[in-house]
Amino acid sequence: MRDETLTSETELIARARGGDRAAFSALAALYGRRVHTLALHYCRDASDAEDLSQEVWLRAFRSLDTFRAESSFYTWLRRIAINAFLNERRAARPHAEESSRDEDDEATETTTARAFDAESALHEKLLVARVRGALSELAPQQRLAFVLKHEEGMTYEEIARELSCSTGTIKKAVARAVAKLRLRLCVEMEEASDAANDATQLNALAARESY
Amino acid sequence: MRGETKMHDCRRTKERLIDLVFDEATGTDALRAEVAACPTCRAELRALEETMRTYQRATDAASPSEDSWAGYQARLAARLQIVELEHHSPQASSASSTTQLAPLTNLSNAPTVRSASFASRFVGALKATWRIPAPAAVAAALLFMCLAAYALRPAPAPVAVEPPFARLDAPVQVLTVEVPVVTERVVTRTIYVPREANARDASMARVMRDEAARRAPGARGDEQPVPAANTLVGFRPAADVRLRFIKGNYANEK
Repeated sequence: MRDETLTSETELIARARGGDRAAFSALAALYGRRVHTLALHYCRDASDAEDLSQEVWLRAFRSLDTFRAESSFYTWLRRIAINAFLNERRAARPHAEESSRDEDDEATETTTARAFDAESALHEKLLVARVRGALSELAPQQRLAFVLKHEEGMTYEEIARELSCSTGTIKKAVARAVAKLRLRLCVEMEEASDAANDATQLNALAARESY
Repeated sequence: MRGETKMHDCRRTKERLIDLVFDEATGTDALRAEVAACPTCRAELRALEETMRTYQRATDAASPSEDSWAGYQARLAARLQIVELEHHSPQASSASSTTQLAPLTNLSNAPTVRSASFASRFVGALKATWRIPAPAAVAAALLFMCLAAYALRPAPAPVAVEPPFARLDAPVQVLTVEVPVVTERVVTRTIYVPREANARDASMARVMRDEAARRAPGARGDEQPVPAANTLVGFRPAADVRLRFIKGNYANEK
């Protein structure tokens, strides 16, 4: 099955290099969601993420001749995405000062748009806004390192190779991103921690009573 | 918490907890055992894992719905079509011309013509777009409008400049204007007073002189004939000489 997929991918790549736009669209359909998810976690909002992810595909389409099949197509595509992300000014601009305002705006939009499920929708929107606010306080390279670690599951060495920096720098960037997220989400963490503690204590009591 | 085990250091362990969260560390089992023995490190690890679970929940909530992918693919296909038209049109036109010369040539295997024609480059230049900041665009538009308004302004009416001698054929009219000229003139008169004459003779001589001047109208004071009585015979200079200088124009001359 995987061989068939690879064969079809290789065939699609060959056809796309020959100028077959339909074949390239098929490749975009294969990996489009993955690239878009990366952009969505890296960017500030969905519209920026769509622009950026489509820019990645346009760059790939223009430079398809440079693909040498030395690595997988997605690895090649991800390298293009990383360059596009770091070169994108909109994604690289600081949003820290706007994060709190965005939380309020998005919360307001949510309450007006989804009145039927206001509480859960508002909760989700606030959660997303807090996460984006935390990531926006990071430098673009730190944010990208965290996204590559979390979404792509790349090792520190792989990320360091892609971003041309040391492994220690990547490790610090990931730790800093998690610390920022923890700081922003501290309320829910405390609640969850309390709930986990309560559950642990209840389990201990039950075990003790069973004896 | 320090001292939970002999070699345990909470601070150093916490620095490695992020490796446990992402399953990155080597020797993970030993680290997990160390964390399991320390309540503080265990709580810290639990907090980090809860952070990542919450983050994952947020990213799931922010991910686009399945319905949106069709629109995304359609928009991407449209942008790809534009890029293809921009970059592959010269090749397509070249390939079609090649096809006319060699109809059996497969288009996909036809050699790519790298050099674009001048017309295609011109069309590409016409379709070129640049991203510039909105304030710069507004400023450029205002500058262009000002320059256009300055270039298209109505021509100013010619100013009639009369030459200094516009009518040379006009008859010359001569006007004489008397202009008073202030000059200085020194009038010197020498008075001879005969010492032997008495005052009566002197007054008589003065009366005779005035009478002679009155009888000769138009004569200037300094040009009147000297009466016979005023001769230099028996002249002797006066003891004192009184000079009077009168300064002024002709009208005021005395």
